[in-house]
Amino acid sequence: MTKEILSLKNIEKSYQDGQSMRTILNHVDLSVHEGEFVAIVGPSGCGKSTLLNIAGMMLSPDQGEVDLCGNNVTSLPGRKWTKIRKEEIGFIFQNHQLLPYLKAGEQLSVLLNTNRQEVEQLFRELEIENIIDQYPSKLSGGERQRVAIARAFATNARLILADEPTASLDSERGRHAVEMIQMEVHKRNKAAIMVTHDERNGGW
Amino acid sequence: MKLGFRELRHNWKKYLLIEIIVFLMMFMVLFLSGLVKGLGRAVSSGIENMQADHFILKEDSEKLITLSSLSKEQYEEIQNEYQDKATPLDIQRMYFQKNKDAEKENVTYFAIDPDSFLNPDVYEGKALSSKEDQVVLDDDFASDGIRVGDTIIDTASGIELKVSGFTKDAMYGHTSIAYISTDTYQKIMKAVNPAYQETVHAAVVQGNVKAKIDGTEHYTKAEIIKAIPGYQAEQMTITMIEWLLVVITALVIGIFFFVINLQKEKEFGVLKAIGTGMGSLVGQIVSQVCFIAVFGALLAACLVVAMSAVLPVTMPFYLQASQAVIVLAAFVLISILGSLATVIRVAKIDPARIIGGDFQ
Repeated sequence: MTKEILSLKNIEKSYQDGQSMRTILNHVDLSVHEGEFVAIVGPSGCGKSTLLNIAGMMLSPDQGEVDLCGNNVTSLPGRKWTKIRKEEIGFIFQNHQLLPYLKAGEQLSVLLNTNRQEVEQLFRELEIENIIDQYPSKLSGGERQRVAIARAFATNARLILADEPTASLDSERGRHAVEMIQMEVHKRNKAAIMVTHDERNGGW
Repeated sequence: MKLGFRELRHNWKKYLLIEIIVFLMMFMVLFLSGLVKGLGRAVSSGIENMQADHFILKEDSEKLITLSSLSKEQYEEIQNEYQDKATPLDIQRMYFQKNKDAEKENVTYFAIDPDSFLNPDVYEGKALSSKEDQVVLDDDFASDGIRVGDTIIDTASGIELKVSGFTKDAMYGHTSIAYISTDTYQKIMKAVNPAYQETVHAAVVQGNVKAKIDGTEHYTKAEIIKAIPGYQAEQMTITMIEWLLVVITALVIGIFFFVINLQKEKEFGVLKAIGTGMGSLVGQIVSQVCFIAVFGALLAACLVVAMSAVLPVTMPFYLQASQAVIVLAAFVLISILGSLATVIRVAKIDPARIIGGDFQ
């Protein structure tokens, strides 16, 4: 049986909405294992990103428990969350979120201390080895998103969280990006959650 | 830190503009600093350069050597007490001319015992000797065309004085000093006023002062300098301007970085989300501020040093390395403190809010 990487138990989260409270997540349970790629599809405002932020240890749930690799991390101090995010979680954000002053390869080597060989290997797998020394401003939307995917897989993170990774791409490039995430998840035996409002992603 | 330098390199045009502002303001600060010290030296260097520790003046002379007048008995008592560690000093502001038809020039006579520790070093000609009617001049007079061996005329007495040498950095109360022997000084005073009584303005002492002699007061060198008319007011005013500029320049850097980093909130949010700790982000911000401040300050220091080499001798400018280091270090320190506002702002960034999501 594959190992459980992430477990969300009975998660509740509400936000202030004017005078009243709006419940976004109501007793949500989710479990993701090694090699699993889970897509959460839903319209804007349904709480997908809130769930992802809780899973990514950027937001505390009002109630419930977050277990990462068998450890309850819900009530750990923020400093420990930062460390766990760095070591255990790889993020793929909407609009790639690359740093404009780092070259594509440096997004991994400078930020995550990944060695040059590993960077080259990842870029080869994602078919972007030719842009390793380019700044993000010189890259197309698809290339930027692939660099962002490479960044998420550059560490030994066991959980990959992708927030609308196809939002800024056309459907062909979007499909390609999702396929690449899937490929790396299976190849590296990671657990992954992708949230998207685009129902086509569910079929990929 | 590495991240900070990568960003500086990538956005070098933006940061170059800030660097130019910092450099110009620091140049102004250092130049003012040199002027503060220079003006201070123009008032006091004659006293500051003395290898002396204390001055004994007559009671109630308000720490002013020119107002003091020690009686013969008092001075003899001092001499007996301190032997060759005490020597007389008279200070008298007068005029001299290069020749009878020439313009009068301001001068302050420092009348000293040529065999004492007050005799200044000369860089040209010979040091002051006991021979009568000799004078050693500050190099400011050399720029007026006076040479070693020339004769100048004391305007009030008409006595001719032969220039035996030139010394450097000898000013008192914004006038250049002429060193003469006590005998020559008394000769001049007697020629001006036949009723002149031989007295000594002050006794200058090396080492500690022992028991107080009746009717006298003793002061340190710093106390005597502070009491020179105009010294404190002048120093306080320019020093205040200088430090205000240091603080303002440092705050300008702080504000620039605050504004620049406001525009980078999203980048900081991403960095926090992928697990970059606050220590690393603080390192990024502080290293950038440090680099801009230190580089700007060093460039300014180089320009000021180069400029001081070509400034005319008559310009009161004097910059010591220690003084420049204090100003520059204070500037860098205040700049770093100013960047803390940015650090606090970055610490408050919530990565979940900045990165966004469909709920926000």
